[in-house]
Amino acid sequence: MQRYLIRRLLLIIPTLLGVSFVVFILVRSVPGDVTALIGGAYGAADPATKAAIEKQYGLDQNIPEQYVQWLGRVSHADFGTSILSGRSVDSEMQHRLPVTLELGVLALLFSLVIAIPVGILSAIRQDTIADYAGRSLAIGLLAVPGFWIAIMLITLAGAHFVWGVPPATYVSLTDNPVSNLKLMAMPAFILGAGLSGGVMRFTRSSMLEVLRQDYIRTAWSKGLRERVIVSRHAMRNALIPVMTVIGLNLPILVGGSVIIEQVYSIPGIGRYYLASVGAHDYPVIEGINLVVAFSVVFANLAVDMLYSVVDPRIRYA
Amino acid sequence: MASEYWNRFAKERASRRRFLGVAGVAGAGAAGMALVGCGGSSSSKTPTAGLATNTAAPNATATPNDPFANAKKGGTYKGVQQVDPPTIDPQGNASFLTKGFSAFSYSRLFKYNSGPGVKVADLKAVPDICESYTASSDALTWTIKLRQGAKFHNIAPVNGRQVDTDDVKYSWGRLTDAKNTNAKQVAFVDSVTYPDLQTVVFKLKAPNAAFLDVLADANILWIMPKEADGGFDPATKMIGTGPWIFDSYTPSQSIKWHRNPDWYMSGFPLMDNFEVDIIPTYATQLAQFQAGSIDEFGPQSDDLVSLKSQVKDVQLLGVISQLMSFFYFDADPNSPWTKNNLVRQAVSMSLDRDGLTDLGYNIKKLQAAGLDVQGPWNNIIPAGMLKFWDDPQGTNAGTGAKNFKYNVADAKAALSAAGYPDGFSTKFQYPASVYGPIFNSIAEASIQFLQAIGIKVTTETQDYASKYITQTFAGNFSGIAFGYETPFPEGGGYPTRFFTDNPLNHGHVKDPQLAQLAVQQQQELDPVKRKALFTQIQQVHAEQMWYVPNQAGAGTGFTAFQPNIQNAISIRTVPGSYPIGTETYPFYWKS
Repeated sequence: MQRYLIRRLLLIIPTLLGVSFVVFILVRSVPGDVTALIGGAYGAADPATKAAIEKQYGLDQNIPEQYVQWLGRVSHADFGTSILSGRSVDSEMQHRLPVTLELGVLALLFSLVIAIPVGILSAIRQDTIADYAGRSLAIGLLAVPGFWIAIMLITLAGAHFVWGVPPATYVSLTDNPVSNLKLMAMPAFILGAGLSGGVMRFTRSSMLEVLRQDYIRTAWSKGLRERVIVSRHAMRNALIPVMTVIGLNLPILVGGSVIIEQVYSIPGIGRYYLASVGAHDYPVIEGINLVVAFSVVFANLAVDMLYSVVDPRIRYA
Repeated sequence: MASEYWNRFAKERASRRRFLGVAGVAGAGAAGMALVGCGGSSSSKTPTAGLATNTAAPNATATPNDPFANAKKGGTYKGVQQVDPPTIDPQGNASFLTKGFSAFSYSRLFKYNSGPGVKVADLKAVPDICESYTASSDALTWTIKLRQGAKFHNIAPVNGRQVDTDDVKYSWGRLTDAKNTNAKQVAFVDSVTYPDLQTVVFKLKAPNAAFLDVLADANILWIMPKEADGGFDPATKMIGTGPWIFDSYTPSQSIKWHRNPDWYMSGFPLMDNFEVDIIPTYATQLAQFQAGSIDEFGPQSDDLVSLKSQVKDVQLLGVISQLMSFFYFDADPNSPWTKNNLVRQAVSMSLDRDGLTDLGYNIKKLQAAGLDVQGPWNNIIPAGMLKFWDDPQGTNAGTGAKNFKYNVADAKAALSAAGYPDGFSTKFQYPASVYGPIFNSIAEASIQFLQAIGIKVTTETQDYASKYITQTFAGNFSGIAFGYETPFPEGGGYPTRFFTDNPLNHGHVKDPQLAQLAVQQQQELDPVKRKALFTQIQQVHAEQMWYVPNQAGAGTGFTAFQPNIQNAISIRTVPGSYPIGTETYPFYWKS
């Protein structure tokens, strides 16, 4: 197990190197003159100014050289300075990453709170009205875009129930938990609801499979109550594959937060990333990609490790 | 008298030998005296309608209709912005977002005399941290004295010291740096000298009727402390002499200031704090306004009627902004429009301007609902700039008036006469992420109008910060582009930018007649003759159509204010412009 863990940790390095290199190349391949962004059109038109800007930002070197230099800085946890704002990428991420993480964790909690009970109910009441309702709900949540729900909710709130309008300004959880949760609750719910559709369906099918196992039939024949059978015998086994699905959903959570952060004015990584892509802000794009890639890889590793804890049959060599 | 409104609060010294062609103060009525008092300087030979009001006794009785009678000090004003500024360094970027925020913390040498009862058409440049100024008889030498008591904010490393000419020198250096896109806007200045720590002397290459307006232009010269050169980072901190002291800027979240108790207009700002929330989506802004979380907001015309019923006693300010939108063309000699002005005329005739205005501003619906809305046509001078604009449908329009009229048949005939009976293909580009839905809807409709006369366009929507403002707006593009012009507070900015040699002549237009007229108007000191030159420019341009005026910006745009915001409707500065942080917000209060 330890060897497996070490091996997985070591595999993170080439994964991140690959991701970072691909992103590095891609952003520099997108059309757009970065020197014009920095120096303005007039500055960029002047050869001396353009050369000075390129030298300042290391853009006068070839891409592999730039990449190596960037790697060197990143190895010291220095993600550089935003071309657009002049602010340190590290400090921006320090402020924004916890916000997106909070949104993601709350969304995950919401998705589990919705998906697992509904999925279980759907399975144990297969082919009943409860099952049909649960499945319809899952399809509906999968089909309707989260951003549409977000805009509809906020528009309706503003027009008809202003008490439902979230605060205009973000306040951190540590500064004021009540205000923070007032702002984060709705977007987290919307994000979580969007995720819950898939988790719900997977929970249902996983539970159905477990319920057909011999040991469950034995439990029924012993006269155990349904609640005991489901909660003590079936659920734990049914949720094992669901954990994998949750792990796979993490990148979707990060990507999906971009639009939700825009709609709810949440100063997270997603919103920052969106602005930086439009502005060809290389240091920001590369920094965020690296951090997000690391988070996703690490989260998947954590899910895999948790897998073996939940299911003792699973042992990694 | 309106000037008495300011007696209790402001003290400004008079200047002598005012340059009448610019000031026009002699013609200012009582309403126009809001920031202008009567008084003389120490060596006045001629009476000046300069800028002098005396600080009245604290217990002076409020005059009738005093907008500050019962003014409650304190509170926080919450504004809203859609996107972050590219930088908060006032000389770091040409974006209107940067300049707008600069007006809170920084000052200029001159500003506009916004005040109660001052009509937009009567706005003129008056001293800001300039205390007094004189002009030579040939209007080539301007001597400006800095205001005693104009101090920087008490933030390290500047620590509240008096502004001096070293600061002006530093700021002028930033403005005229080769990397600064606005450097060419002051190319008419021959030299700037600093005989002592309080005196700045500008020598011009030629008389410039708009010189003071240039110094009041929020795009141009913000006075930064010399410590910004290495002592602190102006991209992350603002230290100026303005009415608001910078507290914090949290990107994607908010910018916060608190009132400057040492601002030279003592007693102002009236509110304690100012906060601008960055809220990217319109729906969220609307909801926040409805919930009372923000104090002002720009509603779309579709929402005006419902907003009136949802927010009781909402204040709606309708203004035709001095925003001009226009098509501009690449300067490729082989492009159809470069070869023949008939092509440019055809483009203009393809546009149904009334239809576009109604599309963007819902004129008919709002008029039916009882709102006072108008939809004049932009000329090469925007319709909101009443001093200089000639109505393309009016008597001064000249023979080029036909080119403004919607006429598909004539447009096609013009294309055919130019050698394009089947039209041609080209690219059409505009920024789709920053100017809002009115601009976007008019852009999309304009594409259809172009298609209808045979111009087959491939549309490219561009990111504002990385592509549009740095490349297309600077003339580095191919095809047809659509955008807003930077709103100038003074009409001379338009022909000067459009037709003379400067990096923001968007279409790289080389028209000797218009270039000469642009220079002539700049140097014409008689306001009547100058207006005649503007008429001539608009008539000549109507035939040439180097820039095809469009209707985004020409309709009545509304700002909604919460019912308890006082003076929001009565105190206005140059519409659509950036210096509201200095010229309006300090005078708002909450009842």
